Amino acid sequence: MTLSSSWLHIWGFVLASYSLTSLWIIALAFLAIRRFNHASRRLALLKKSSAVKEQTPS
Amino acid sequence: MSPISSWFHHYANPGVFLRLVRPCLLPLGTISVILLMTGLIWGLCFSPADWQQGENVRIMYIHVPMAWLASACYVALALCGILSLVWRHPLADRAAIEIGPIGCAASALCLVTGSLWGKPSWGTWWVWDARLTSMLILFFLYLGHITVIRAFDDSFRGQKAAAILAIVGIVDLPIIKFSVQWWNTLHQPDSISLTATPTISLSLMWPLVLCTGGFTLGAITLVNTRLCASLMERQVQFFSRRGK
Repeated sequence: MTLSSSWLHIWGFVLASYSLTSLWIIALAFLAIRRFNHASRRLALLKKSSAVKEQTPS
Repeated sequence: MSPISSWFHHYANPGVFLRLVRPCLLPLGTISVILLMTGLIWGLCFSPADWQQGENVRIMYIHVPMAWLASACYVALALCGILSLVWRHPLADRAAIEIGPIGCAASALCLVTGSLWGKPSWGTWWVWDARLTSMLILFFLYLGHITVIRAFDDSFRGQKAAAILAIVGIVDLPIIKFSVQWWNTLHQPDSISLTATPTISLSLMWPLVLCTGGFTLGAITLVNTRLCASLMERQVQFFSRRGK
């Protein structure tokens, strides 16, 4: 440990690590969930519309 | 076809994979959030400070799981490369596309948190130490993989090149692991090993185990969520084309 590192200084580094990691994880999770929901909704809609098409007499 | 081979090909079917994995995502995500919250709050607020490193030791609860995750994701990437090149497994290339960014984020966070730990402990943000340099190379391997897999108009060529890069790049993992033994490095040797008694106190080890478990489960959930989304996007493309 270097002499220049005060208690407050070190807590700054610790909190910076925790907040940076939390932000990255939240961003990655948010993007993945949004992509998943979007694809899931579109797929359900397409399946529904193709089922309706098959039932409609031509 | 042998039973193993038929099992292997059965689960290679994207439809079967989706039916199997989709219901597991929410429970997996919930368990990983619980583990992570417990581990991180324990590590930040309740675990004791180290006698030598002081409060700075709390960065370890993020830095060590990120280092482990970066290596584990690269092993998964290389396995996907082998599955893709040898057996043309239809899910392997898709999985490699989704694992790359997660591993890259883990290696970047490992480097940044290591740097934040190094400044108060070593008095410098960065040294060209064997452990740090080999981890930086792993980060560049991830960047290369992410770029190469998307770089070709013909996606098959991109996936093949990326699979070769992933397999060749695995040589960096033993260098990362054993760098602290092979060279005289500033980075301390491993405190936890499968073969030896841990040299770390139990009061520091438990939050570390929880954080590592939480981050690992979280990464598995994230990769599978992205993989399911990618497979569904493909199905959407297929239905749209059929509709036209």
